[in-house]
Amino acid sequence: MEDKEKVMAEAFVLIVDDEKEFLESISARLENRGFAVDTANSGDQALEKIHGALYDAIVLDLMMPGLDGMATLKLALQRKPDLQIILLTGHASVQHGVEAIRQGALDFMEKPADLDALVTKIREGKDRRMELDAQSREEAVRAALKKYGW
Amino acid sequence: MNLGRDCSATGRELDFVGRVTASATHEIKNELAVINEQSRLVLEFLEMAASGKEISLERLHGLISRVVARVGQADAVVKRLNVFAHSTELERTACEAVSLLELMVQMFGRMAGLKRVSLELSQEHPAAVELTATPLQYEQVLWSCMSAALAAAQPSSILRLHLERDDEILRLSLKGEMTGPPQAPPAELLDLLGASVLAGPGSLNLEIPLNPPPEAKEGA
Repeated sequence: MEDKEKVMAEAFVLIVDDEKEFLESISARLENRGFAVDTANSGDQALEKIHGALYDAIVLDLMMPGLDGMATLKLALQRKPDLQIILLTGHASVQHGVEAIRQGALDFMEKPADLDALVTKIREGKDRRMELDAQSREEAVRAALKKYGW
Repeated sequence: MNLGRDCSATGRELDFVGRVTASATHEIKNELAVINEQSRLVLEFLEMAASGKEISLERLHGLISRVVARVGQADAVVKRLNVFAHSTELERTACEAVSLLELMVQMFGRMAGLKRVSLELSQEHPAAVELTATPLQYEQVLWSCMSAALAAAQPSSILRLHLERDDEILRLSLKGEMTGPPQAPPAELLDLLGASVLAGPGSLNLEIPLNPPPEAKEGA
């Protein structure tokens, strides 16, 4: 995907799920709504992609072979603490939800997720990411001003 | 579940039924999530077509074909769950050991898949073997052996299962690439069938007498 398309899009989202057909369909539906979508079919692949790109939000399946959603969430946030991650699961439970939020997820939704609700959550993630980005730029400016005594 | 034995299932039995049911319903939920996304995408394409946008009939056909296929997969899981529900009798009976093994291997497939392990049941097995046992306990022992072998299996490997009848003994071997010897299922569970397990590097071998000794007949 061209950088220009990502900038023009509603948001740039990474969807992570081991189910290829689920990835294809949800990607197409989000693209129909103006989102730029990237996909990963495992936790490992997601971590690689996260390393090399700046996503506004990440939609992560909880149950995956190998590195599951919770483990991927922890590793991803260790590397990039400002990532906005929404966990999806077949069976939402309070226990899983609390654990996900405690680990730093933006939210936790049950599959099949209502796409309008997911879109709202992705936009919230983008807003939060931009806010954090602005904060860190502000801090960098303040630090520079302090350093040079301006 | 037929509660004929003494009208009460043990905690371990309930835990086992819960695990199997949770796994199967998770599998169904997953299929439904895919069906949901695909069918909603079809609706969106039809809405686009209604508003004058050109859509690919080939893509539409492909999507609907996949919905049909996923409905078939979900139905297969429901059928297996139904067969399982009807097989969980708590009374000692003459049960057909081969078909119950096939059922449990299919139902365990999702658990193995989470570790990227494939289960291969050898087709060179007796057509049918009559085992005098409580079906639920037999299923529990099979599940427990597969769980033990899976826990020891290398990720992304193959676990091969082979069933044979040797006179009055039913033998099931589970072999594969393992990080160490699998842990044998609890003795109190095996005792219910008068069964024994021999675990070694890369294998777990289960032996069940077709007609268990009197001490195993009373159950737990």
